[in-house]
Amino acid sequence: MTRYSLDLSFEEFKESLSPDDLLTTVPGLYFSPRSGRVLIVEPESASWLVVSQNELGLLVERGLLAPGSVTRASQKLTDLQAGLGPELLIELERWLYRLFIRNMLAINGYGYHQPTRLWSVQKYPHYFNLHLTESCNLSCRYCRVGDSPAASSMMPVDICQKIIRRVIEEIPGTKIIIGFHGGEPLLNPECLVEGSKYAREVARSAGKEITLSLQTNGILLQKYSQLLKELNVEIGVSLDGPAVIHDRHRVFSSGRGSFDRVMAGIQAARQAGLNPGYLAVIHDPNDYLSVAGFMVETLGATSFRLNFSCYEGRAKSELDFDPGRAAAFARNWLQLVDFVLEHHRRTGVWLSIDDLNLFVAHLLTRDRPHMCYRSPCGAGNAILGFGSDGKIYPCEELVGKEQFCLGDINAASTLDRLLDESQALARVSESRKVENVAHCASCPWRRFHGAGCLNKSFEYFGDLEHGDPMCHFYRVVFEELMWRLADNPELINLISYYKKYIRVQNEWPT
Amino acid sequence: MKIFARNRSLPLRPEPFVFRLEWKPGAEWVGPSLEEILAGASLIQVEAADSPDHQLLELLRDLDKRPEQFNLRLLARPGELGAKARGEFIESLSRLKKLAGFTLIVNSRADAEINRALVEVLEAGASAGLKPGVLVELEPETSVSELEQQLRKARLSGALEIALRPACLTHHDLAAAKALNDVLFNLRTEGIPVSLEECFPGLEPELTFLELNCRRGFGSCYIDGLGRVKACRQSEKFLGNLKQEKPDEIWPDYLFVRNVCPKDSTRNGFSEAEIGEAGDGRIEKAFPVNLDSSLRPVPLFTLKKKGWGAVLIKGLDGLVLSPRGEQLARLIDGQNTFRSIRKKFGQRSAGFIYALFLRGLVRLEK
Repeated sequence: MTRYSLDLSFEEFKESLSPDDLLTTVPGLYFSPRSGRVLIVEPESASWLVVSQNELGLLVERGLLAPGSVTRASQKLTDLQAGLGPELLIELERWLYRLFIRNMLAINGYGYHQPTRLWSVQKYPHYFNLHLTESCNLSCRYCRVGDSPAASSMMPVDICQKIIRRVIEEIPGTKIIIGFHGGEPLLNPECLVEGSKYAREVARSAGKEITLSLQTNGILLQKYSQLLKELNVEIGVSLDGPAVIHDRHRVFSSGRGSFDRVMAGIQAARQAGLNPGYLAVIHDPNDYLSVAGFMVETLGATSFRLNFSCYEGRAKSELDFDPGRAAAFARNWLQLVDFVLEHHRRTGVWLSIDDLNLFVAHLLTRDRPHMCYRSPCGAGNAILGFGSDGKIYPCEELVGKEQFCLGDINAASTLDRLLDESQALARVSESRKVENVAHCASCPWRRFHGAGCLNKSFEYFGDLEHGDPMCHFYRVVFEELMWRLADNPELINLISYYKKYIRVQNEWPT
Repeated sequence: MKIFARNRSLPLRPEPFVFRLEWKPGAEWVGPSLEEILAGASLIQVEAADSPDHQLLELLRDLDKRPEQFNLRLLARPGELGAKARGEFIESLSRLKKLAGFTLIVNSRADAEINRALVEVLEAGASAGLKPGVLVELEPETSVSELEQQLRKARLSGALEIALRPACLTHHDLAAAKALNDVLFNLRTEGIPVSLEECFPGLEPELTFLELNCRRGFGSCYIDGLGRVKACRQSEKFLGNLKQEKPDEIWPDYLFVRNVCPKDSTRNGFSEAEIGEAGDGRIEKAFPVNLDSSLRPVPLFTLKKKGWGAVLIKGLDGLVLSPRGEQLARLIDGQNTFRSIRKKFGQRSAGFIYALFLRGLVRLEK
């Protein structure tokens, strides 16, 4: 076997095998049996396969697979074939092919994929998140905003323009996104207006493509929807579902729920011709289906994002966080799969629910489209966060945390140089590689999920050396999605707009 | 060419880097002795003699805050923790950054109540991201079906790793060995990996396909609650006592491990078939497969330097290298090819790297 190609067909594989080939299985494979079949996961190249127990049994019996062994099992092809009938010989070659293209088998030392080439990360960010203010007109019970020492500050227009000019001019790349965030960014409309106009001007003269977006709690949408339409800013609205769920946590400082105001804002946005995206934060795992149902049936959304609440900000003191909540979240989140299938059966439309679509993509491709699930995560290489005072951070979620501050927009040398030379960023990047996080280094799911969110790990554990506090959630949902995909290939449609990332056709598990 | 400390022609390296500590309140190894142990440790395994208690959690928190680079593994019995205490215990463990392994010990004849407690702790531990494992202490009179059932149940309850060790050191007969071998083999064909935590005296020759987590005392030692040092948990010979001697005075006797494991093969080390015969200026035997010399070995280990050489660490285990082995290991960086390494270290270096490949310590890339 000398051939190495990323589109190796079974016929080519068969032809290139020779009796003297030494077949070696990969150590650290993860095995999970279920109803006469076994799921095998190869962690380093994020490959997986469901085989029948008979198939596995034969390979174990012949000494090629050794579940639980810390060493590789190895066999010469001739020894493996000895005594097998013609039909089983053909089957064996097919099994070996499936193992080989999933990197579970090395032939004369060769693995099919070269894992070090699979996980590239961006060098420079494309997404720049500006906190127009650290203030908010709501006091959501799980929010980190308001815990910051600069809680009442507004970003001055000149700082906003300086950030925009410098990221467009100094950071390499042709497509950039400016995200207006906060706090509640609509509390600083002057900065939004001047910043948006200025961004389009500078981008035009620099020959760059720019997208402007804004994440709002919706309270001020009635007032500013028309303005946002004129500025051509894409908007995302945070809405936690029906009133009974939304008003539990998304409240004014008086404790009154904000549902009615947000819905009125959404209506105004639609009337102005905006097409908002929706984001809900789930704290009670039993709410997943109710929230998804509300998004689809009441709002008519076909694409939305469901995040779970995190241990940070006010949530630390105002909400309960059972350390074992990940299993309940996983169990309930998986009901979304049936929800999407049922919706498709009734309407013919495939819903796109983040991160369900993304996780399916992770099982079908080796790209990691979303920066949060890379290794290291996108902090400083895909995103930069800017505080209202002009300070620069590797991620929007880290704004205000001085230990992560990379510099100040007024003092920094060119931004590309700042990123190249920042010791703080180098330390963050190095510490968030899965191989450097002890808890993740031997995890079978490490290349599906990465080492998790830097900020969530820091908030929960107080350092950068831990994985994600919800790592069990990811472990369960990835495994369950593998089984469901193996049983129902139609689920490939859940991948939604991440379909463009599937480049290698023969990776689909058959 | 002296590459491996483990090579039969070389003396065993005296210092352990995996320490298995028996915990009980008032354990004698806590204090100055522990300080010296931690300085050279790659893995500290703490085994609670009874259910985990507050003092044990305090000890783990203290170890977790230490600046030294080592991993922790906790072995504990599920015991009679109530739901609240269990929640607090699991939460405390989930915040330890050095904790790389959490294993629950259960007897193969445990009653339904203990097994229920085991399942509850397993599920809570898994949900908190601890990736728990189960260590079954096998009683000689356990039936094959009982054992199979218990191990399957452990896997279904969320145990990612399952290991076995003898509950006592009674001799087993060969029929028992055969039965146990069959159980382990059957489970493997079903995709349920079971490893052996320690050796089964009397059974071992039958269990040829398994490595031992205890490393057969090589690079590892056991220290009981009284501070007495043994090569392994099952050994009856004490090498010293940390209350009376410093570790440096005890380790030279550590060579005793050769006799502790009389059936010791080269399973955790390297056979001559793998790395070639000793040099002495004669023609050296090639390794058993023709590898493309442009392949680049990519390290899957971290290298920890010691006074006498180095340890390659992967996960909770490692491999001892002599100073020359360390030099060679440093060339395994994903950039150098077989060809370039061979130029510096000779033909046997390829065998060395191939042996590391077989042990999952390197990957080969084009």
